[in-house]
Amino acid sequence: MQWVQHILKLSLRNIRRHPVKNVLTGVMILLSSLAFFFSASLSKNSELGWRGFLGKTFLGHYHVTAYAGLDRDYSFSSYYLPDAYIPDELTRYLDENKVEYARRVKLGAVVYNRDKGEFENTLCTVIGMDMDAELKKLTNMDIVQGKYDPSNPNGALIWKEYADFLKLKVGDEITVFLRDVDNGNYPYTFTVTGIYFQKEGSNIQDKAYLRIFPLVLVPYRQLTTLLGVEPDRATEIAIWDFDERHSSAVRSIAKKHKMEFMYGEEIFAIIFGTVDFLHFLGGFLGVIILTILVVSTLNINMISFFERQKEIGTIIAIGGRARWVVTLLVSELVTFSTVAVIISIVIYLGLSAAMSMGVDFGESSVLFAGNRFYMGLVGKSVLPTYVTIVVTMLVSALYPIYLSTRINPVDTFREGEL
Amino acid sequence: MIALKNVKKTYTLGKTEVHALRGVSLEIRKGDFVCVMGPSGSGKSTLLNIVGCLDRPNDGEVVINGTNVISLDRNSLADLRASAIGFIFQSFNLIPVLNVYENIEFPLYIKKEKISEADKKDRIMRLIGEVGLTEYVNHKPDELSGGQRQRVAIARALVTKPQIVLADEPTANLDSETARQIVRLMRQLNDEEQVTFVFSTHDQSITEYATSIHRLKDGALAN
Ligand SMILES: Nc1ncnc2c1ncn2[C@@H]1O[C@H](COP(=O)(O)OP(=O)(O)OP(=O)(O)O)[C@@H](O)[C@H]1O
Ligand SMILES: [Mg+2]
Repeated sequence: MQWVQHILKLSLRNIRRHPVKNVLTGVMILLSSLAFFFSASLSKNSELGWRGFLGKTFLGHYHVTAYAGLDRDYSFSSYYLPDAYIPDELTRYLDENKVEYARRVKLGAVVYNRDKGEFENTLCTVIGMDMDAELKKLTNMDIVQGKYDPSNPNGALIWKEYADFLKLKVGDEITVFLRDVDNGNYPYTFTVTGIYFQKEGSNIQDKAYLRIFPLVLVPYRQLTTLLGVEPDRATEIAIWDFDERHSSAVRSIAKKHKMEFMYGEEIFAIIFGTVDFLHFLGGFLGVIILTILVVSTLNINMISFFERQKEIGTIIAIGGRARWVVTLLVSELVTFSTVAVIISIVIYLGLSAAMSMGVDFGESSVLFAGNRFYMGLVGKSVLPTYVTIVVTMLVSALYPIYLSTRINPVDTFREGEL
Repeated sequence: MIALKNVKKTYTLGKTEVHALRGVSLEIRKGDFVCVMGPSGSGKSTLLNIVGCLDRPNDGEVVINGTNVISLDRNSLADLRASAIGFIFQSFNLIPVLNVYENIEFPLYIKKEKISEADKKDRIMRLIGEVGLTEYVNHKPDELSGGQRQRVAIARALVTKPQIVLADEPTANLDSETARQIVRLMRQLNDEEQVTFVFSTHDQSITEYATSIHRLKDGALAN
């Protein structure tokens, strides 16, 4: 223990002894850390911006569906009820942790188009949902005509563009063919009590290649009864919660039961792609800076290796094993990188505090679902950044360290006499 | 305690061979204060480096405490140096970032000597007293004169209680008065601590303290 303390002391002092070299390296570390932190923050803003926005829609902040692999797109739903429903383990977890969620039964259906007098050849999606609880959540849903009528179990709400397409008004009936638990295909008729549309964010439609949502919303209890689904069984649940402990627990329970877990934005490849791209961009920038860091510190390390030959030769002469020298040099690098990363974090936090008002990205604010950009430090980005920098520093010091262990003290003392 | 038998060392510089040692045999007993004299290039440093296990001979035997060290590997040699040998260098070779106390303490860490904090402090402070640097405990090497630096180096060489201390021209970078003081100090410690000293010099005036003198010329002892 004392030995570690001693090495650390020696490392710190050796670091302080070469200020110019270390400031240069430190600036490179600072730049790459800032690039990594910034890109993580961009992605996080984008992710949370869209997650927040989509949370006001059917997607929730995230959701779990029993249609594993099938049901990533709300416009193409399965025509069959799933073999397994959302497991009790999952809803129990959510209940116990007081996480807000909603149960739904969702199923593809064939619609009879009364206007044309024929069946539509594309499926629509019927969602049985707990209207009393959910309509409050779906604040981006604007009932533009009619209303939700709790007294009518056969009442339905329809997406405006779909209602226009089918030429339906409030008070009209809509007939859908659905498969029940026994795979029987029967018509069910609902009355349109309301027509809804989204309040904000028309850009998702353009950006996400979704023109119309052929969605018909009906009361959950009624739909389970009609189809013979056991009460409280759900084909999907939507969850409103930003706590990552819960989302990762939910993700693992879902995985265990072969259910599919999705964040809202993951459904929209374009948004998800943007988040990924931002990450990639920052990472790319960071890697370029890291490459410069490797090259420049390799040079600096070579120079300091030559400067310190006599010192290292002395350590070896008085009995230091090669391992001892490696430990010393590695500990100097790690200590230095640690200090540099800590300073970078402080500077980054300072910058974010200075920009706590957020930045308006104008046209590009669609990256963040129209929100301002807030440059916070993403906790998850700290460790990978730190590890990347330490590894980079070690890589660029590998050769000089190797040379140090090969030093023959006799030679270094002779050099000194030149 | 230390025996060299017909030690030869040859350096190859391009096509020419330099015979730094041409078969040196030598015995050093415990408590000796040995001086190796000789003109420049006579092989003094080479000899001391071989005795100190820093360099290997091309031929011959180096026996320390009954072990022939020729067969030992790098790490074993390092451990042997850490535990049994102390070094004093011509250009002091102190660790620049460590103060006087820490420089003297340093070999104890390398040796991984198990010693209580109090005993360690005692031992180091006593050595600092003996080399007359009590007032300079917290000074860094660059705040010391050449003579003071060499005193630190002497204390550092002794702190692990080695059996032998090797000093290659310890006074070459010092003025003649300081040089005498340093050799006198080494002699005094040799007496008090019963540590064997082997030092080299080409300065005739400081050889008077030696208990035995070996004269090297062209890589051979001229006794
Ligand atoms: N690493 C080496 N490579 C080539 N030749 C060497 C090497 N080390 C020593 N020599 C040669 O070996 C001979 C003895 O050198 P050594 O350094 O032992 O002499 P010295 O007595 O210590 O001299 P000085 O008083 O100048 O220090 C010299 O001719 C020297 O040039
Ligand atoms: Mg010499």
